Amino acid sequence: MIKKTFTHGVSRHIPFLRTKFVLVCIGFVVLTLAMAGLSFFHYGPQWELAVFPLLALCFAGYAVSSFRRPLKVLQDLQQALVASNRGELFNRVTDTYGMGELGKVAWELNEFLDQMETFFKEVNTCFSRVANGEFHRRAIAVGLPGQFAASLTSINAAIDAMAENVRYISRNKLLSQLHSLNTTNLLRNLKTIQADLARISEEMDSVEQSTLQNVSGANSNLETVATIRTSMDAILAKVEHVSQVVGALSGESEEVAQALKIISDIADQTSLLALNASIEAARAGEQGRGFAVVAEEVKALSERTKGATAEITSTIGRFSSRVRQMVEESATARELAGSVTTTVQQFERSFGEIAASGENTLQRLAFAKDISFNSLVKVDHIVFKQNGYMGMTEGPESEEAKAASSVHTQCRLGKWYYEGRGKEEFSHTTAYRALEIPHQTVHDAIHRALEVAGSHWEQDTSLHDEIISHVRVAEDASIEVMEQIDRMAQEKYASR
Amino acid sequence: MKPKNITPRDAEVLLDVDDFIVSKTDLTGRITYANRTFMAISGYNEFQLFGIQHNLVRHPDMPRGVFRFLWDTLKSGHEFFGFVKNMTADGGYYWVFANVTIDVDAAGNPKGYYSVRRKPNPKALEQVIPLYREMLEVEQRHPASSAPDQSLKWLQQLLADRGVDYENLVLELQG
Repeated sequence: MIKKTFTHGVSRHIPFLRTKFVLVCIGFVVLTLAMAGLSFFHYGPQWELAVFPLLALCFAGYAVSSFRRPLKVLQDLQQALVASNRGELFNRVTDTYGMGELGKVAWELNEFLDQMETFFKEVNTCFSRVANGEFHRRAIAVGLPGQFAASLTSINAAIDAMAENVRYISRNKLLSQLHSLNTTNLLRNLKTIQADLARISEEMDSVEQSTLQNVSGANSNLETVATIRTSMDAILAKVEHVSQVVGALSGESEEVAQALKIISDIADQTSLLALNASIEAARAGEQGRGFAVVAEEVKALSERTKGATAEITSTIGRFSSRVRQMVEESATARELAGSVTTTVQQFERSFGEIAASGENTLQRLAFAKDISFNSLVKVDHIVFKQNGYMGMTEGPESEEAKAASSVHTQCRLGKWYYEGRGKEEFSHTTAYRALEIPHQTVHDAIHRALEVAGSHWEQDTSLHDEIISHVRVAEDASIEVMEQIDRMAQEKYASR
Repeated sequence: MKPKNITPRDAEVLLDVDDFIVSKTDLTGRITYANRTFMAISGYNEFQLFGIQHNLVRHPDMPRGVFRFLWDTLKSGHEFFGFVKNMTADGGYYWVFANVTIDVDAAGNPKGYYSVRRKPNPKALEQVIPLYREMLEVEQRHPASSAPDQSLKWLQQLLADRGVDYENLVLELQG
């Protein structure tokens, strides 16, 4: 920067006041001396003539010396103004006793500097405090005149606006941090619920599959039963046929009986003829010619016997064929009986499968039910956390803050855990026992965060950090809670 | 010269709302400047003030612990606020709300102290007077050398118990 020296203005050849005054004094003394010299020249040496120049010299000396103090004050004033121009407002002009008008100027300058200095100190202090994040130090306008006071009042309004803005920014910062924490974790929570629902749907698919198996098993059972019935019908038909065959067999037997009766008749006649022949032979003696007649009769008899025998043979042949048929029929019947046995075995197997599949279905249903109940518990836990988040932003008097102030044994998860289904179904698992501490930690940390959020955290960034750190603890513990709930169901069903 | 043995009198000089007392001291506490309001209210003139220790106007009712705190605050680079009872040349008194800061030159070197005093809020004084009285009692129970430290400790303990910060409290009281 080039320092301006102000040595080229219109006053540059005109001497300063001090020089002018000294010149005037010298002129006065010289004039007096000149007048004394002239008198000396005209009237001759007279000692009185020396008195006036001497007095003039003394007066000039006195004037110069008494002019020194006002000049000094002027210099002081100039220096104070120069320093003020440089920005140093702390200089004052003090040694002004008896300086009259100059003294008044000095005091007015002093008090002007007092006001300037106070004004700038106030402004400076306020803004440097604001820069440090402190807003309670307001500029004090009391005692300062018009423009200065108005200016400080405006500055206070600006500081208020800045404080409000900082509160707003701080609030937003916390809210956005909370929001991002919340979103991240809510997302994670929802993902586990999503996984559960997918699992439930998968289980339901399996259940459906099992049910389908049951239906097809039942259908094949029906078919098997139908086969059994057909087989049974065939057996009945065969049995009927056998009885007909047996009926026919009995008819044949009658024919055999008749044939045998004829044979018996013939035997009777033959025996009678033989008797007659013997009687005739005895009467005629020599007259043996009668034997010829007998012989013919016997011949006829034997022919008839021969015919009867042939008849019997044929009958017996037919009988044998019927018997063979019967044997075949009974073989078929045996086969049928065998096939019935196999069908019945299949039937039994099918029923076994149905029973096993039913067991499996029941177990899967129980698992699906547990997972869906656990999902509900997880949702309860997520709702508790959401209440915590809302309570932090809505204030300690809000419904949400009250809901989130429940202790870990009294929330819905707590009731499930300590008295409800959780205890009944899972208390034998290690995950059940591992769930208690993280759950309690979530509650404690949320309570601490709510407590801090109830204070004036907008002005204090350290409180802000404290809230975030409590919420982080809660979220970490909450992840653990979710994991242990998952592990409980896995553990319970892994053993089966 | 500092005048000795002024007997305090129960005569209060009340400041007007726009009264604005300014004084400056060097780094050792000697007065280098006082404005005309100061002189008018305290009853001293330039010759009686300049070059004299600022405690010339100190009133015996003021606990020394307050001034200990003032110097501690200034030395740590901060401004000081406080309610102060001062004594006039004729033994009377006047209450002020004082703000003391450090004067620094363009290079940032400390040059002296600058004090502005304004009319205190009368409601604030109702609270401050009993506090100062108790501090004085604390000081009377201890040897003179440790008295200011003891009464300051007492005050700081009281503020800590109430959970308030000195500056916040004082600014709030003044309003």
